[in-house]
Amino acid sequence: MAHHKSIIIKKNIVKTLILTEKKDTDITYNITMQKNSKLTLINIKNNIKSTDHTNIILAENSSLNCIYISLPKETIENHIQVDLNGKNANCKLNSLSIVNKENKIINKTLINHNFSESTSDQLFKNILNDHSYSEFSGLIHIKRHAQKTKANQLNKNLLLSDTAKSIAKPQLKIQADNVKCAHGSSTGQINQDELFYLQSRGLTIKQAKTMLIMGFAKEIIDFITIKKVKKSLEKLL
Amino acid sequence: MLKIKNLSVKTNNIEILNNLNLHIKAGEIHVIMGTNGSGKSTLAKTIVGHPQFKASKGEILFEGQNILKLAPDKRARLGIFLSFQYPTEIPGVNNASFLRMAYNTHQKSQGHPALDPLEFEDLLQNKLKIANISEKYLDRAVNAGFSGGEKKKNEILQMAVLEPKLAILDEIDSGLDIDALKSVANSVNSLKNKNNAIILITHYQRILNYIKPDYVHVIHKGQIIKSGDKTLAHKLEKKGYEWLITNP
Ligand SMILES: Nc1ncnc2c1ncn2[C@@H]1O[C@H](COP(=O)(O)OP(=O)(O)OP(=O)(O)O)[C@@H](O)[C@H]1O
Ligand SMILES: [Mg+2]
Repeated sequence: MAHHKSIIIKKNIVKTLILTEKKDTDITYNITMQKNSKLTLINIKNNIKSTDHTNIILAENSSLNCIYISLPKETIENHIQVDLNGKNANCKLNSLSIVNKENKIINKTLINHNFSESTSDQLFKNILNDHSYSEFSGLIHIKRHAQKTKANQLNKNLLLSDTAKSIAKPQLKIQADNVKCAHGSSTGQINQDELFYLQSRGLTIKQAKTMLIMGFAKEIIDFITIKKVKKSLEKLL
Repeated sequence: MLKIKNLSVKTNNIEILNNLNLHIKAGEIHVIMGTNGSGKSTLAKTIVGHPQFKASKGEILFEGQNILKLAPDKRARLGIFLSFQYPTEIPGVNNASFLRMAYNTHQKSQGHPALDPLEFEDLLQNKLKIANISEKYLDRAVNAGFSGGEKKKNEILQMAVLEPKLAILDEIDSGLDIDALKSVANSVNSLKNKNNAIILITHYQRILNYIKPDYVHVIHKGQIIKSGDKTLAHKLEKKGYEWLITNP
């Protein structure tokens, strides 16, 4: 059953929302951030199936910090739309997905830079095992008046098996002329030189691989500053 | 401790080491010198089991056991250590956690108990002093963004933590400033005892002002073409390799 949730972050308010879904979900979140507000949104989905839509509107001087952690059962789809509607509105989207078996992770983002001097940073990392699949489609749309926009988008995939597959579809639509924009995607297996280095110090292949995989994940986990959440997450992984 | 017999090594079907022999006893320091590309690093990497270098002939005995078929981690746990000429950067892997895991893996294989983070912290303080490296490097990712000299000191820190029986130091003196060279040499000397052995690969006589070798070998085209004592290093410093290569 689809349902909607509306959340308003009032002027000058600093808030953290931790969403940990326990059951399969199909929710649409509509979040409005008023002037000078700050929101940290942590979305953890472990062993569930879900299709969520999150639409976030940011007013002047507001900043959004989103962290998505997804461990799908069958498929998780995260659809995220961010509208940066004021000067100095900043958003960060960071995501880590760990996918096994024949499960799938699909992340779709749309960032609309509707006003001048806003920033967006996206980092989507996937660890893919077995026959799993990941898809990242990200559209950054910089509107005509949105001068001095800074937008970054990066998708990194670590393939742990030959049969895992990842697809990246980055898209840029730029209608302003004074902007800084970068996007990229990389897909690779465990680095053999790094693996050998760790082994040469006595770590077994298994220990060395685990360390390198955790190293790949760490960049995202480190964005979580709440100790309790971070600890429980490290345990989970 | 180490006996290399008639060792030939190929990579990509090119022969790099050719019938090489070397014997090392506990308590000894052996220096290996030789021109660029003569096979020094290849020898070092073959001893520790780098997958790129396969022996096509001969054997490497470590304490009587042929180690050529052993995985690199097994060789490390037997007590063989290589300080790399170019240490690998590993972003995301915390230096302190890595050191502790390496240490505990060695402990376990010797039937000793593992240390928890606090106990290991105590041990590390002492090792930091031996390696003369600041503890600020512990919180960083392994070698990531380290300067050339910092990487070499981090290799020495690992050696101090693991206390190998055989340490191979591949150009530990390259890229070090004068003070750092002295410091690294002091670290190596304080880790040296009568039960362990060192292979020191170098291009320069300078480090031998601090570390006193028992033997100096010259490797050329994958073979040891001359062995002597430390006066050989002096001679090479003065005369270069030409005289040796033309009339060994
Ligand atoms: N993967 C490889 N494929 C082809 N040739 C290789 C490979 N690795 C090493 N070699 C060659 O093997 C030879 C020996 O290399 P090695 O690194 O052992 O030299 P070295 O004596 O350590 O030199 P340096 O003093 O410059 O460090 C060189 O000619 C090198 O180009
Ligand atoms: Mg070399």
